[in-house]
This record gives sequence, structure tokens and C-alpha cells, in this order.
Amino acid sequence: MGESGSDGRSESAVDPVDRKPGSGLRSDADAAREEAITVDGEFDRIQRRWRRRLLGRVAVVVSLLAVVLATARWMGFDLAYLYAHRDNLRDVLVEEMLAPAQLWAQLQGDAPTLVPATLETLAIAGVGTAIGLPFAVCFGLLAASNVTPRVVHAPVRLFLGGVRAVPSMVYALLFVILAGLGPVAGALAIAMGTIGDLGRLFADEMEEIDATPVEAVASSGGGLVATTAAARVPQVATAYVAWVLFYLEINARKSAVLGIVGAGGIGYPLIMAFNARNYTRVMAAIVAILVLVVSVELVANRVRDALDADRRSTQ
Amino acid sequence: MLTVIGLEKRYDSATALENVSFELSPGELAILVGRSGAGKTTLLRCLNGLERPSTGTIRLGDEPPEPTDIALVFQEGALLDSKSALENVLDGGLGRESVWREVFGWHAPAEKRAAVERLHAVGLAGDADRRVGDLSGGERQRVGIARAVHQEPQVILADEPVASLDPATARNVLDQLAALVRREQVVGLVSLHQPRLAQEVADRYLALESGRLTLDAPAAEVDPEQIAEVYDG
Repeated sequence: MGESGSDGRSESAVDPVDRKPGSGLRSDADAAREEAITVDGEFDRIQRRWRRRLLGRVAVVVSLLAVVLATARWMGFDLAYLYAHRDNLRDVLVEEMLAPAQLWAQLQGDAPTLVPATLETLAIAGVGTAIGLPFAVCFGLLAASNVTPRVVHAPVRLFLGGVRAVPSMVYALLFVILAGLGPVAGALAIAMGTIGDLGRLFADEMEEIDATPVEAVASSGGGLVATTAAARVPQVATAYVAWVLFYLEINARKSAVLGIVGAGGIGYPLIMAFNARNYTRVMAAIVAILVLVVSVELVANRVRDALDADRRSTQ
Repeated sequence: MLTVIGLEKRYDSATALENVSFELSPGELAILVGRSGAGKTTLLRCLNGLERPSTGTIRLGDEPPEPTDIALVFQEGALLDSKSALENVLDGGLGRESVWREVFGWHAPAEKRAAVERLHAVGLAGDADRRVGDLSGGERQRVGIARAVHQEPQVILADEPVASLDPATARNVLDQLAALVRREQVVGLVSLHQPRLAQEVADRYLALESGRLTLDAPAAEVDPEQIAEVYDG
């Protein structure tokens, strides 16, 4: 309903309440419509509608549950089997992985390999994010429907979807062919993942902005690049920084397993320990990953807080 | 009877309200006038309980008011655009209904019927199902009023409820507010920036200047010049 139409109607609607005579804006059709709708009539209609909607929702939840259960069965999900074999996991966990003295000795012994491998993982995450970031920003801006025309944003979105469809592990395998075994392949794999994911998030974030300031800047004569720099980017800058820091955390976690396919980092000692069934050594590698991921997260949080404080003090 | 005695609100070094005292009776619509920054919004927020006064007493009858006793109509409606008009009005009853009813959107039929009635009372018959985001400014503001009424309060406050509306729609929304204050016999206190609109509905005037109450009188005794002076300084 248009602005003028609805206001004309709202003018007519005052009459039943305060009985002010002579509302000239009231049309006969409006009056007839108002009188035809009684409280009971509307309430009954809404009750019927809400009941239908409730039934619909219950049906959706029940069928979703049924699908999940059926799929789990088809996969061979068997709680009885898992329960019967619970001792296997318990033995490994209690006797090898979580025995403190054993684990401490392992950590000390493996430190010469674990420490450099952890630093290498951090380097893969950092360099990979740094390589991917400028591409993510460019593609993100191009993929936003409120920045570029359809002929641009539709194919760019499709491209980003394609980039995202390939798992980082597969990129790592591909880049091992290009760069050889080692962290360079890992960093390139992380960069690809960053472009696909962050590009999409940047585009979505951009599409949420308030159009009014953009129009204000555009009306003063700014072109696409000028309006984007002056009115679009300032609206998303804080969110983009938050996403980048969050992605650094995610990439630190991802980098930790790329070594499984030979792309460097702590994944390599991890998979070697698994293959050797040396679960204490596995746990030592997991501890190293834990320290890495938590440290990155702590640093990212500090950076976020510092930026927030900075922004508040300049406002 | 809403009684306010010696209300003060201080922020760090600034004083927003200074020794404000007045009394308002049920069925009476008081218009609160004052320039921007005079403390109107702060006063309404203190009365509503959204902010704690630094000192002073607020009484409803002989008791301090419960949160559900005082409803506030916000400047631009402060509605949830993605919900229907009916669902927004039902939110006014959150103080009464159990939490799980809101969580599952499973409101009691009596509540729903009452909410439909409130919408009819503000002239929105047949609009219960419409998304609030699709309504015009005047319609939205009336949904806001219906939500406040659905709270079944003893006091209805409104913070510049017509600031963004055209004169005819503004008049309509104010008439709705005035009608409901008289019909439901509740205390009404509405802040306004339009002296001429105020004259048409006011039973009483309160004026704030720099946080101090400079006028508190029945509308019949107030010269329009006095109100104009509040704005012209």
C-alpha cells in the first residue's frame, strides 16, 4: 500500500473512536470495508490462520526429525555398537592421552619438533590470511548487489561460491603439486579458503548497509568509487575488521591439519603419531594446537578491544 | 493519580532534571513542552523506569509504580518490523503472559482477541496480519499506541509520538491518544514539539526548561503565547 493511500485510510479510521464529524478524506469504499470487519470476525480469521501455521510448523519439525533419523540409520549409526566399544576409546584416552606424567614427558621430548611446527602453522595462517585478504575485499565489494550491477555481482558471487565449494585440504593437495611439500602450499590453500569465505561475508555485510548516506553522497556528485569509499566502506569497516580477526582464528585451526596432506605445519607430526598409534604423542600435538589456537584468539580479542576503545575515544 | 516529588537526574557532571514535582490525574492528557535537550525524554524515561532517577519519588496512588503500570510510546514506534501488527501489540502483554508463550509464539486466545480489539480501537481493523514494516508512519505509530494500551497500564507516556508525521496524520495519532486516555481513564503525559497541535488536545501543560519545571497549569489557564515562549526562549 502506498504512503498516500494508507494515510487516507488512517484518516478515515479515526472516526469510530473519537466521533469527530466531517472527516472529508473518508471514502465510501473505505467506510464499507471498515464496517465489514468486526473484532470477532478478524479474531476468528487469525485464530484459523495461526492454527494452520502451527500445524504446518509441527509437520515441518516432525518430518525434519524423521529425515535425520532415517539418514543416521542409513549411515549405519548404531548407538548399541558405540556403547559396546566404549572401552576402546576409554583405554586410549585414560591410559595414553590423558596420563599427565606421560604427557608431560612426551611434550618435553617432542618440543624440538613441536615448537617449530607450531610456529610454522601460525605462519601459514598469517601469510595465508594476508594473501587472501585483498582479494576477498575486492571480490566482496564486486559481489555486493548494492555496489555493482547484476552483470558483475551475479558472476562474482557464483565464482566465490565455486571457490568456497572446494575444501582447503583439496587446495592443499593441488598446491603441493605447484609449490612442493611444505608450508608454501599450505599458505596458498589458506588464502583460497579466505577469499571464498571472507569474500562472501564481506559482500553480505555490505548488502546490509543503510542506503540513505550512500544516496546523500551520490547526490553530491560522487561516482561509484567515490561513494563506495566515502559512504559504503565506513559503514562496514568495523564489521570487516571483526571478520578478519575471526578468520585469523579459523585459519589457525585449519592450518593445523593441512600437514596431513604434506602442506606444512603441525599436522604432519600429528598424522605421523596417529599412524604410529602413539596416542601420547598425538595428545602432545593436540596440546600444541590448543595453545596456538587459544593464543591467536586471545591476541585477536585484545586487538578487537583496542580498536573498540580507540573508536569510542575518537567519537 | 501520578505523583512526582523532587525528581532529579544527574549524569556525571551534567544535570538533566532538577527538582521536578507535579501531579497528574487519571483521564487527563498532559502535554510536556520544552526545547530539545530540556530534559523531556529523560523525564519520561525516569517515569517509565528505563532510567533510575538520582533522587526523588514517583508514586502511583500511594504505591511506587510496578513496571507494568506505566507504558511508553516511543518516538518512531520502536516496533519490530518483521513481526505482524498483532504480534507487536501482543508484546505489550509480556508482563502478564508466561515466558514460554512468547518463546513459542503461542499466545492465549483471550490475549489475541484483546490485541485485535486494541487494533480496532486505534482504527486498524483488518490490519492485524500485516507486517509492521509495510505500514505507513501513522499506522506504525498507532500500532505503538495499541501495544502500550495492551499493557493495560495506569499511565501512558509518549515521547514525541508524532515527530516524523505529516500534520494531518499527527493530528489523527494525537486524537487517538487523547481519546484513549479519556476512555480508559489513565494518566497521559505526551511530549510534543508542535504547540499548535498541543492546543487541540491538552488538558494540562507541563513545560521544562534546562531540566527545571517552569509551567504546570490546566490548559484553560494557559495563554498560547506562554507555550510559544517556551520554544522561542
